[in-house]
Amino acid sequence: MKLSSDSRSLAAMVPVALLLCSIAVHGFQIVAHEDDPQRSGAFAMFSTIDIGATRKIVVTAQDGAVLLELPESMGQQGLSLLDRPSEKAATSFVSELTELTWTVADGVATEGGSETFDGLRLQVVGLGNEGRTLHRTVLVDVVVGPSS
Amino acid sequence: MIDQFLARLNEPRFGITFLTAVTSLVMASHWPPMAVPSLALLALFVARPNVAAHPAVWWIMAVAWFAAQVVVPERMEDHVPLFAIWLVAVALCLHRPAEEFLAAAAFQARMLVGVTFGAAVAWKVYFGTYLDGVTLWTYMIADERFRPLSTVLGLSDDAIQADRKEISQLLSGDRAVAVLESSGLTVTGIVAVSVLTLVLEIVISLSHLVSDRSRLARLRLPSLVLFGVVTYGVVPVLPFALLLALFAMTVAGWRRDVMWVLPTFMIVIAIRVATLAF
Repeated sequence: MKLSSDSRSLAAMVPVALLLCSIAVHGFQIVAHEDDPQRSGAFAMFSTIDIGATRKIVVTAQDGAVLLELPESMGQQGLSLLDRPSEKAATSFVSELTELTWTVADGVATEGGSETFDGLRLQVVGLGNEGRTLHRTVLVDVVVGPSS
Repeated sequence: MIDQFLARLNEPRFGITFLTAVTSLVMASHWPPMAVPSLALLALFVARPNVAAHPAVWWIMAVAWFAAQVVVPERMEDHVPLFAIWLVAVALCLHRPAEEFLAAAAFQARMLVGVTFGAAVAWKVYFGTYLDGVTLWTYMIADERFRPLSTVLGLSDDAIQADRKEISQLLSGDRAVAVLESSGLTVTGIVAVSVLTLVLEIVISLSHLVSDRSRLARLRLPSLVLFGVVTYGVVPVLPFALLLALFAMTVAGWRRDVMWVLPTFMIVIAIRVATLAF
């Protein structure tokens, strides 16, 4: 099928229009929802210090007295949370942690053992800066369990 | 048969679409199931080359790649949506008479390159941490692949390890701030590299967006090749390198004398991959 001349000129702009839409949609997700700029279709790679690789999930129990070491089995979920740190995803993630059992030693909890935590706090933290001074920014902060 | 096949690669309609199919296979590294339609497409090029040049084949490939992005968005980097859009462009170009294919494909490739690099520049300006070197510095700390650059700029492994530790403590809440410190020469070098790479991206974007008659258009090929060598010499991203080489050669008219771009990018990537462990 051959296109007419007018259709051709209109159709010629479709790819660039699609690209602009992709940039706009992913750009909105980066700006409004803290999506990892490295992974989207907005071409924001290497443009900011706050990316998935420089973010961290911090889970604590007992008012911060115990730090949870995240189990390897939840690594993929953890990466997804760092890339798209929403409250919903964080709540789902931390709820799964409350169902696990732990061993606590020197203020650090590792998976396995007999201890359980009813209440946990999860923060997704990233980097902010003023000039060459880096500081911590909290992207998501959720608490589940009795203390919530 | 092989001679015939190689000779056909010089024909833009065959060569551009064939290299796009190869790029599709390499892109499948993001999600292996996409290797199936990509291999089927390559097989079509060998068995029924005329069918492979039918627009419907490329619409199907485009739909498949868009679907892949919906199914596994977490596996996709920004060059995947760009590639899927290129497939749409190829399909549209194949609807045109054969003699118009190259001009249409060159127009599509240069628009996509121009807008893509324009967006990359806009984000760097928007976030405000690129021009003062903080972004590049942070990447040199966080990403091992930047080691050749950090070495050239005078950031020692010990300094990077110390910065990495400080940032880890910062994220854990064990310290309030982490300050990026180094010698004046190193700081100047980091800022200079940041500024120069931004200027390069601006040149790439503008030179591709202006008309073919503009003097700036002469910078299309050299600026894109310089970008490829500098970028993939540090961070070897094969799918994007292949796509950019395809764009560069298409924009340059798919002439015999620009075919060196693809092997150049591949050699740069091969060298960097081979030296990643060092």
